[in-house]
Amino acid sequence: MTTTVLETAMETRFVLSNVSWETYECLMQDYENSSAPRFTYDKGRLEIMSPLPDHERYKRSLEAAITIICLETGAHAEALGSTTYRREDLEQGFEPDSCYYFANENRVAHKATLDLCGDPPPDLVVEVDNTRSSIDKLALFAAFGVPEVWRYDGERLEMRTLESGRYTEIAESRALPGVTAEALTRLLGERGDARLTDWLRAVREWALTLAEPELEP
Amino acid sequence: MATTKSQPTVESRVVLSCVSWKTYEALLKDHENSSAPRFTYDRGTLEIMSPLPDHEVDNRCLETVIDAAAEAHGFDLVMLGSTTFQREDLVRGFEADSCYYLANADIARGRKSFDLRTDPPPDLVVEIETSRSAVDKLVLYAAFGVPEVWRYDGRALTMLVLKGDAYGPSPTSRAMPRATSEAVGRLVRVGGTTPRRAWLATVREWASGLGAGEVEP
Repeated sequence: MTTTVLETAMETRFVLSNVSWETYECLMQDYENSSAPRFTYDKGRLEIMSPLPDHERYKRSLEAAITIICLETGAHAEALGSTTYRREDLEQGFEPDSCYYFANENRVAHKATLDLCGDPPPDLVVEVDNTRSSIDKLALFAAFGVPEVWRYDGERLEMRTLESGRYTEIAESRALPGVTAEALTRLLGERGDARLTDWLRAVREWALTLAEPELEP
Repeated sequence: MATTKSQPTVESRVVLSCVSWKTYEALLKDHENSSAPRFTYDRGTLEIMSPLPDHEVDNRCLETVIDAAAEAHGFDLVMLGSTTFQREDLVRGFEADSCYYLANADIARGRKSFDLRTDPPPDLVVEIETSRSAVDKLVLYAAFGVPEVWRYDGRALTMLVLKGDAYGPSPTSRAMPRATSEAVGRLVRVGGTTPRRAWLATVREWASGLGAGEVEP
């Protein structure tokens, strides 16, 4: 079963066309208490993504790094994981690998349900994948107005910011100032060979430098 | 599992494990005018399968062979392809690669819909499978009372006949007693690579041999 495809891919995908919004809603109801597989819906197309171990390994690591960054820099954050975001008016919906509120943290804290007509989209969406989706996720995130997207493909972390309806690549996060794509790429590159706890210590050491920029040479 | 490496996979599938009957019905409604993908539903588990070209080549070849064999046996044949059969009381439904009415052809001829609580199930169901399904199709077909299932794995054909509530392999068909799994399997195997006219001549020659055989039981 562990063929070369499974060894390199971080997830498997299946796309179903001609799925109505009503069917998508029925399916989301069936899966409301489950985090896998993850569903993305884009105007009739439904993508079903099942994560493989590397996907979850890097996703959890990135989440841990973001938590440490917040702890060490004092940034306020609300983590909403793979919450389902859907808007019938757009006929689109997604469940990110991970998502965060920073600037809008106080607007969603303690909320049990979100209404995207009034509630803001996440300030940051994190995606971990190395297989091509047939749905244009960036166009979908842009439609929801997600200001920043990080994507890690197992080799490189890319940061993108939304500017006049389109994402442009940035070197340093706007949601978490001081955090660079280069630094996260380097840290995640060290994740594979390291024990989780050792790696977390290294992340914390690095995060401490973010908190005290004036002490940096 | 050892065979999956040496053999090319001729379909792509995904399995969802907590799908309600309501969602299954909604999906069927979205896809009522399309034959692909195919849905199999078994008490909450939904399998969605997209056939790839090789799959369809084998399926069409088998259809031709079955048509010729039915004619040789002097049986009428109603071909219902991938018609959806579902029974809410069993919480199950299937769309086979092909299905046929032979003994019950008179009942099935001209019918627009079937209610399998009262109508007979197809006399013969054909499955083209080179990758393993997560749904135990034989248990499902047995629940519907399908008397005979033919399975083709890309190389060999297995004829399975219902005895009690389980299927057992049989060297000959129950629906068409002079057709052997060995001969049908061989015809399908060469069908994909032999020029069409030459292959049809081979099928006709085989079928005429069936007609000259011993008297029907």
